[in-house]
Amino acid sequence: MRPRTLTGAFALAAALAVGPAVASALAPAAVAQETGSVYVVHGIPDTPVDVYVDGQKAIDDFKPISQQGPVQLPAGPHEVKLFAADAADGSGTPVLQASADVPAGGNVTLVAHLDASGNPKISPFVNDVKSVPAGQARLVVRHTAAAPTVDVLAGGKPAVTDLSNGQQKALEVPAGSVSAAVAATGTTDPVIGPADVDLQEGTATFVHAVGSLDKKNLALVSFTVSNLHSSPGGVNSGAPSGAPSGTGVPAWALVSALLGLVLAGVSALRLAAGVRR
Amino acid sequence: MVGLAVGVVLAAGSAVLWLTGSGIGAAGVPAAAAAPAPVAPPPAAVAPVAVSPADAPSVPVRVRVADAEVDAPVVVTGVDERGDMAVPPDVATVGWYRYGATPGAAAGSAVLAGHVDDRVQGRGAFYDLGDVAAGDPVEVTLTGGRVLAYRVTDVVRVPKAALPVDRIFARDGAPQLVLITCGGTFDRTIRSYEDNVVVTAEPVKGAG
Repeated sequence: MRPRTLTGAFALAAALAVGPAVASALAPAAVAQETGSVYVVHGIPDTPVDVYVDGQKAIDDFKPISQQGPVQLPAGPHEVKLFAADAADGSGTPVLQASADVPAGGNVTLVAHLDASGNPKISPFVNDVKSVPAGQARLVVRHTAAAPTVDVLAGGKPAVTDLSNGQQKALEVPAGSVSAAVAATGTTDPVIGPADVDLQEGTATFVHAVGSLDKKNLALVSFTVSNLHSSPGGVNSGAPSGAPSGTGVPAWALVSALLGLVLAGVSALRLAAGVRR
Repeated sequence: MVGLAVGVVLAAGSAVLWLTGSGIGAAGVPAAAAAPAPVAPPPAAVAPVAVSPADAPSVPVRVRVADAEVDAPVVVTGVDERGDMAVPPDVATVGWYRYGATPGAAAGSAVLAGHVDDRVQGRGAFYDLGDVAAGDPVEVTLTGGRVLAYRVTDVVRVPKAALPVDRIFARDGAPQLVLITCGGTFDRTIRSYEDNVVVTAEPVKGAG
């Protein structure tokens, strides 16, 4: 893999209002609202790195195909630089660098990964940590691997289709275990998995496909955010048949009434027939 | 002409069959005297969920409020297709909301819901829940036989639309047990009771 410097700042999709930026990344935040939660995913194989945020070492010897977080960073722009793990300090030429804008109260993931053609880059994703309906779990799949467009299979059937590098898709599914796999779009022959993923109720699981198809080192890196549950809408604890006991119109009454109607109808028909004759 | 008459009779006959098949079981019989009607098992919409062995010791299997003649088996439930808490279709059993707290947990609300009654099946497990009064003891038996003791702190009847679900289904805060059934007027247009009866109980310290 060819080390390269990624210049040009990018901004995180600031879905939430950006609070006042704090001068130093390492200064304690005055109030919680002025920070954002940040996860980092390392999806570049064979390249352990040290992560520097605003010139200070934040993660030492970050192993490939793993994740860390969440860390709270002050809201605002931050310089993120990745150096080879054996670098003396954060002063040389980084393997990758990017400027990340952390929204106040936001929840984001920075993914160091390969693009579709195998070049390293850093991509920001906003983590959907809205509450999940009762009984359900959210599954977010992100394509951050050097691979063509893929489908994500759940139980052998496509659950997400046409996902290309840099894209994510979210599903809300009944909580439970699901057999998940990744296959080239339009196929069901897994390039990753299948693997059982346990989706707990009221959680969001973020799954990143990383590595390279050509180099046969595709892998998944995932993390789960808990406590996103909702309450059920209510409790319907009366009369599953649709009527309470005792007080309903007795069925025998309905039956005899209907019989009467039938008899009357038949008689009327006979009468009509008789008139015609 | 003859064909028409036969058709009418056949159609009416089918309707009669349908009616008798669907509801004649315990209908018209006073609920108190209704023997369990021989109905087919309901569809497994709320089938008991397999619980891993690690969780097994802390799953509730029976609830008893002796002062109100409530004594019923408990099965594990989740949510129904409407996003409401699923209640077992067998009115003789009570459902435990498996996504909430387990009875005996250090925090949160453990919720048990049961039907009040049904025209076909007769009295439900929580038919007499409205008779429960503050101070009444409640017992919850867990898998393995451990019995947890609670004492009722509060009995309220609230319109379903106003059910404080976030308090009833709280997953944090002081541990509590909530028993829920239906009550109030039966609204025939929506085929449902208008209210919920909510019994809240707190663990008896030093017991269980």
